[in-house]
Amino acid sequence: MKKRALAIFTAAALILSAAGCNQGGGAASEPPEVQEDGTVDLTGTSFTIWSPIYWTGKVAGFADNEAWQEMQERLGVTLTFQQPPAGQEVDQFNLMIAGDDLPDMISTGWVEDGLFVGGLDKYIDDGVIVPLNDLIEDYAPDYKKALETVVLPEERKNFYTDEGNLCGFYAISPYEEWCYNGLLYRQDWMDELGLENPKTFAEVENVLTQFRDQKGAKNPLCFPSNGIDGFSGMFLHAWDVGPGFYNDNGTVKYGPIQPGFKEYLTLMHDWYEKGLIDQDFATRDEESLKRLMTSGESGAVIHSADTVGAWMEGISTMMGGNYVSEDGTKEIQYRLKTYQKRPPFGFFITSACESPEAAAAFLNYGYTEEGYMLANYGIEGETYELTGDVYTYNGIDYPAIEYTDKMLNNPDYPVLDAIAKFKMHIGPFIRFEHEGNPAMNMTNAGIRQAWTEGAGTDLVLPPVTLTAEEGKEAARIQNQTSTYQDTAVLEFIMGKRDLSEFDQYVADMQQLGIDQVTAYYQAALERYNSRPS
Amino acid sequence: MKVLVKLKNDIVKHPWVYLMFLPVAAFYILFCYVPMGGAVIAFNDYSPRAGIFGSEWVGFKWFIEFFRDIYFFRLMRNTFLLNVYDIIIGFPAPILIAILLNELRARHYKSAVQTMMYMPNFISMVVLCGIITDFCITEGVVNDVLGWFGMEPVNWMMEQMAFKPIFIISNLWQYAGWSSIIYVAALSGVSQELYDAADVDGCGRVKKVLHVTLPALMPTIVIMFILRLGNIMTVGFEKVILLYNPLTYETADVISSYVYRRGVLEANYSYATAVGLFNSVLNFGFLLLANWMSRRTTEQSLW
Amino acid sequence: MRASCKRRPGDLAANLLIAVVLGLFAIFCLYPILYVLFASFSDPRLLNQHTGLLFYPLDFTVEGYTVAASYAGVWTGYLNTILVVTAGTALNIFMTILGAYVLSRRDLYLHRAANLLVVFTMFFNGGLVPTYLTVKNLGLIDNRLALILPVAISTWNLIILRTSIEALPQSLIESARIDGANDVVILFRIVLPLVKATIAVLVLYYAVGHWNSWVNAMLYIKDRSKYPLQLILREILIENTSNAATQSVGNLSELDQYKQLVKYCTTMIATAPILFIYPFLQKYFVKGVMIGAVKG
Repeated sequence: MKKRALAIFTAAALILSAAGCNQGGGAASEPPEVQEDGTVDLTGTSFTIWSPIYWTGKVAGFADNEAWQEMQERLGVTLTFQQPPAGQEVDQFNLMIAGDDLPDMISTGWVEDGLFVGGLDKYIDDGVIVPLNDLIEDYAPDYKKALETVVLPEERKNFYTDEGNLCGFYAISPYEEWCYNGLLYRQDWMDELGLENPKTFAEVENVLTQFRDQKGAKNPLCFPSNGIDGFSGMFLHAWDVGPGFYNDNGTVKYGPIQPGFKEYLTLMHDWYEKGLIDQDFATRDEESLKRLMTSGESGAVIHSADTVGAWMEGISTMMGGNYVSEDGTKEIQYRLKTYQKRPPFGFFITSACESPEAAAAFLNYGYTEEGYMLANYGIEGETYELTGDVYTYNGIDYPAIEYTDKMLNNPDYPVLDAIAKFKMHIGPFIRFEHEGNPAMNMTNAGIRQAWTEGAGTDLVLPPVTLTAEEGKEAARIQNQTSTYQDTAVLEFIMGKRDLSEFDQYVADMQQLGIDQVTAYYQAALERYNSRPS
Repeated sequence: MKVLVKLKNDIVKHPWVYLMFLPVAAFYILFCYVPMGGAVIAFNDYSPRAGIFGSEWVGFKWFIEFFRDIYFFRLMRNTFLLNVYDIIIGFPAPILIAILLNELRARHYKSAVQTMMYMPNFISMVVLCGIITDFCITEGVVNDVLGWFGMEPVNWMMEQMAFKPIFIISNLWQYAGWSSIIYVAALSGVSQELYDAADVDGCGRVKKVLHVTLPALMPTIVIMFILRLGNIMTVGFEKVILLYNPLTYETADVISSYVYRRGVLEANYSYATAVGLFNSVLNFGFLLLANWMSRRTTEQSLW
Repeated sequence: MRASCKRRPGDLAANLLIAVVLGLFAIFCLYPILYVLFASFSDPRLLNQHTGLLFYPLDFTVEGYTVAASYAGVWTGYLNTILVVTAGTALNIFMTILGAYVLSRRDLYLHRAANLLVVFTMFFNGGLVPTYLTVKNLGLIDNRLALILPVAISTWNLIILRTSIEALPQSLIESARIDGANDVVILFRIVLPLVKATIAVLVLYYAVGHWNSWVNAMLYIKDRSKYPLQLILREILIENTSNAATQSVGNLSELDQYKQLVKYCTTMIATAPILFIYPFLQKYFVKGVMIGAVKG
């Protein structure tokens, strides 16, 4: 009896669930007319946009943002925003596609990984998003022009997929935005001890030793909890090794199994034994790092200049550390490359959108001068005034501005909330982050600029895409390898495992299939290299 | 069809009962059994666009992948042991608390104590684990206390053998008070006359606990125990990932935390569902066993 | 114990010992909430530097609460939560009572099969995607009912109530039936008053469950003005882990100095009301509400 009841229930389940999976697409309508001046009259159209927001504060979402509101008013467009809770973007995204709940447009925020897994081409084949290659010809001429002129030639490949599709309206930066992560020392301690910004390992060791002996720092250097700085590859890059997969002259290699990695571990183990590296680094989280730095227990950290600068306000400014190597003259070829991702956010038109042409015309606005001024700075006369000067980057004119108190000193909206309220931080537009970010702190800007200019990026792997099959297999292998590697690296540094076993560790990693994953990335790199540019 | 006839007769006999059950049945069918078909994604290579039933069939691929994982036995061992220890220590604790509370005379004191004991249940895991970590790191209170006995300070969060004790003891702290509520409620049903009668019989305090209080708790204890055994392969990943680090993976990494880490690499619903299904089958097996034993010995049963 | 106690000499000592043991454990349990409370009134900079236990606020200030209260969604979140807790718990209790009573009736045909099918759902479910599709097909997306209906019954709680109903003496129900009472009368007039304490427990469990829940809201609610408080709290907690988004915004001083403090303040704001639900229910736990209901 139980069995039969179960059978009936299951059958009902099958039917009902299957009924839920029929897939509807938006009914295509007549494309809008392009007027003589190349613009499209969008008055009366409306779109839904799914977009992560990633940080919350006083402003609940894009609907409350004055720049977005102004944009709707100017174009006569009505927007409805769907904004998933911070931290739940991936699940929401997958449910949206599984449930066939597609909005007209989908945007990715900072962290594209996890959204569009398996590559954008797959989503075009599956009919989730529409390719834009032809659409932008007629409906988004300014975006097209920006792709051709503003985008740095060496970055252009990043805008297209392996199959040559242009999938999204991406934020475009006319220059490489400064990297934000690197080695930082306490400026006041450096000054008091009369120390120079170190260039060699011996000098770093001296600084850390002085911090410990002269300044009473119990744990002079805060260290990443997994033993490797994944952002900037700090210290590791002195042996021409990246923290993960890296590009050695067209050959992909995996950093943590290279001979240079053993050198790195040897040095870190030495520093750990000497008490120069935080003894408990494996158990530290962000708050512990903050405490170590602000309480004077540590004097150096590998972190974001802005974040640490904020922690240390009222205590000390920070000194941006040089890239170091054995002899101090080596040219470093690996660092954080902020734009190493395809411009980190893009807007995609879905198959549910009734008029992709109208959507393209709408998204084009951020690439017109009127549009990017609004997006970067807000509304003229309210949040900014023109100074009369004009910057020119890659052939695009860019009027210089000064922010008003509404943006900089607003009692109701502290500057971070002001960004969320009065300008766009994430969006489809030409982004002038260095001029347009009212929160950019000049001290930190100097540090970031020096970090960016202090090292090359030859070893950095461009933003390649694994296919869906490769991605699945890589996830299976990497879950085992990273579990194994994470433990081994900590044990090597802390001396719980002797470095003479390094070869055994490499053999184990290979046994677990790390070379297979490397091969996937190699294939992906080759597909990337043969993209039309 | 005999079944339907009998069912019809029963409905005629107890119309009200069946009417009452209607919304309950509707709930279970709609929200539990209808979606249950989705478990088939454990056997296919689910892609959101192809849908639950349209994705490519892969049979037991994900299960085999999990069984073949080099960490499979470690994950099984840690998951199982954490639960066994938690049953040995964490299961009796709330019962003991309820019995002690029952012995407490001062009513206001009793209610104050009870309210305080269940509070940790409300503090979010992130905050609680932050406090636990603060206790156990090198500069933590635990080392202060051990220092009185002449022990060198140790970062207990980096010690493999310390993970399970930390996990279990902090579980007591978080849940013992809250879990005791159900037993306190069960005891509120016990008639004062029974205690008075035991007094007349000259029973001492301990005897009264053994002969009146415990028997009164027994039905609840048995059911809670069966249900607990039905969770023997379940450890929530949230607390584990907040307390472990690669140095303690050996004793701390459990099935859910491992699957969670894989999810960070790639959201593979099929794999996660397959592992979840495997877990459920084991859990359900233990439940069947416990229920069968209970029916034989105490005549109590979940069905 | 009032009437019949001949106090033995050891009794007082035992009472004292029990009181002390429980008291100590209670204080130990109270500590986390005190920690959060003290931290929430502390100076953000001192708090950032602090390590170890807290026994008083570090330089008392309410700054953190001012910042936390200005967060978008905190107050609407409160209202949404209260709405869901009230309506949800009422529905839970109603459904659970119906289910528990019917499933406790051993005389019904298919009694065991029905119970087994219910228990089965505790172990096997379709997972995230199909459940979402069901809710979507019912047209409940972005509707607060989606926070209530899919969790109308917790099987665990149903079993608890069923167990205490089964523990009632059958003779009571039998005699009522002989007097001509139908099942509705038996359930509401006879059974319910006898399991008041268990129902009080379930009210507590369900209400706290709704109060703390955020997963369903995360899945089914799109309109941010319908977000419950816990979802807002969660966003704030999550943001404490830095990510590329916040690290590259520029100078985050305001946010960053306050991050930790705001976390504690929001925790207090989100937790304090539900902490005090227990005293209201406590009167149902008073002894002797029913006659010898111990299963023999």
